Amino acid sequence: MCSRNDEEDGSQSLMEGKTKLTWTEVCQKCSTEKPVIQILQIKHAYCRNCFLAHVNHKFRSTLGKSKMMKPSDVVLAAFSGSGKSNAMLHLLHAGLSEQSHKRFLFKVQVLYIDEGAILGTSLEDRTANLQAISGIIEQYGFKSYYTTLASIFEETGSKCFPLVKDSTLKIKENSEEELKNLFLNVKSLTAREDLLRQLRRKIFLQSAKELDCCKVFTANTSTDLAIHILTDVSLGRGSQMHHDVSFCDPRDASVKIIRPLLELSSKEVTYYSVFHELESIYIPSLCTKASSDSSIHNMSKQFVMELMENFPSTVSTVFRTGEKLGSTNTTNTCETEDNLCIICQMKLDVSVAACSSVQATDFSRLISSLGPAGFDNKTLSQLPDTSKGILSNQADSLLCSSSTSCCSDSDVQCGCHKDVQRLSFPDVEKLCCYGCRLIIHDMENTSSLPESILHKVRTRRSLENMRESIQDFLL
Amino acid sequence: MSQQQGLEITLEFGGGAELLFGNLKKHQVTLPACEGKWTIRSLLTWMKDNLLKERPELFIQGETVRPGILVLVNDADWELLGQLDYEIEAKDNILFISTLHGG
Repeated sequence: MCSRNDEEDGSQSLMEGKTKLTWTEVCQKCSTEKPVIQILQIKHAYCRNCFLAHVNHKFRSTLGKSKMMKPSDVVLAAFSGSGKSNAMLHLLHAGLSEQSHKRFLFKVQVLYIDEGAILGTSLEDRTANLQAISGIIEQYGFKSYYTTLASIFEETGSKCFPLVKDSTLKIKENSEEELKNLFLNVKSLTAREDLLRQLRRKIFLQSAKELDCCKVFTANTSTDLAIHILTDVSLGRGSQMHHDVSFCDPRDASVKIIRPLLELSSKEVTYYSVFHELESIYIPSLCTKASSDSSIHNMSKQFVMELMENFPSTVSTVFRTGEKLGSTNTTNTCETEDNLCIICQMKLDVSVAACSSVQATDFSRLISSLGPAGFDNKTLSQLPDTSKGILSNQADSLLCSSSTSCCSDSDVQCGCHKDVQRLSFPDVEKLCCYGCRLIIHDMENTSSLPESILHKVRTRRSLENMRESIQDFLL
Repeated sequence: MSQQQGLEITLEFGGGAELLFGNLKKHQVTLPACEGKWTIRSLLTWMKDNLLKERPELFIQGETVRPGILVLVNDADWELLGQLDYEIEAKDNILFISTLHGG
């Protein structure tokens, strides 16, 4: 296991790529039929029936093993129109149908999120997509709803609408406009994709609450999750990676996001939908037709796909490692709202230990932003107590003070004047985790953020101000 | 050995790969007669020259398909059939399906 790979003459031998295996003429499971698929991790060739039984079994055992599903649960299945999410609906439908040996007892509702606004898709195309989606869901007989990504900007009123055969897309012009502005405001594709992922998560939670569902199912396969792991690490979301890739995302107290397909690879799920002749609708997204080096997410996708091609078993190693990397103090269940990130609900790194990598990154950013002549022996002495992680705030205010009207120090009472006030970058960033801070950094101004997020910033800031002002009176 | 007539096959695309082929999911094509036999390898070269509408690097990498695109010949995994060396027969149905969401 631990032997070095160096040869005696100093040359290194690299890991060997996939060797060509010769396949038997019959399925390795039932030994009668002709095999049609090679399943990489197990290095087995299965026939069609054995393969479909294998997928079904894995899906059911993933749900069963978790012991999380209760008969009274109402599940909201996220459906994007892709082959993968259609396969998930098909598996759920099979599990709920009478013939099944052990029937699922929970109820299923389906949600489709319309994201056309950020791509500037025409309303006709979006309505056509919506109707095609409803056609697919109808076959299964699930109760279905749709919502739009722009609903994140709406304060009140119902945001999910029932999806029936000839429903038309209801959009609200001003929130659509706000959503477009938000995405125009974010410069790099990496930050846009990351933002879209966070907003999608918010929509899942918001819709599940509106529709009284306690669980959300998403169709992420193990391949997708391996990509997420590498993306998360590159984006500085290492501490929350565990929640992003494990079976259950427990960050929200009342709604859990569950990934029932995580034991299956993309290949298996795709074959499942091909063999069942499941229809899929391809709806372009942000990175459609983008080259593989256009964003961090695309780069990791490319990397994992190439691994899959040449070293098939390493992908599951990536995935299994990520699953185990949860730290012991990341359980948020008993946390107060106060130290959670306003965007992704992850615990903030407020009490960082001395010499942590968060500090190192912030320090490096501070030095870089000051330029070659700006750093002298006074810079550090101006910084307040670093053990509280205030270094980062200082760096941010230095960075942003030129571009924004920073009012956090001058007027204490402004925390309650909601509409007049513009929030500065440091105000918002203080309440974000490192990963979300990077998104904010990529934005031109903070005012295009959804009102629900800005509201949180204001309330938390005024609370903080209040705490400060009564500090002296406390014993 | 040369084939006298062209080879009639069906090409199908899914999972987003159709976007690169004029947004058409199913193509009925006749491969021209050639020296030797048609293999997936030569089919890919032919497709690149004749069918691909845009961004060839998103479909083909080197002489094979981009990693993440699955190839099924008559509903069977091409890995079991010798991949690029599979000899195409008349009326074969070849499906290219992308697992790269958004790719």
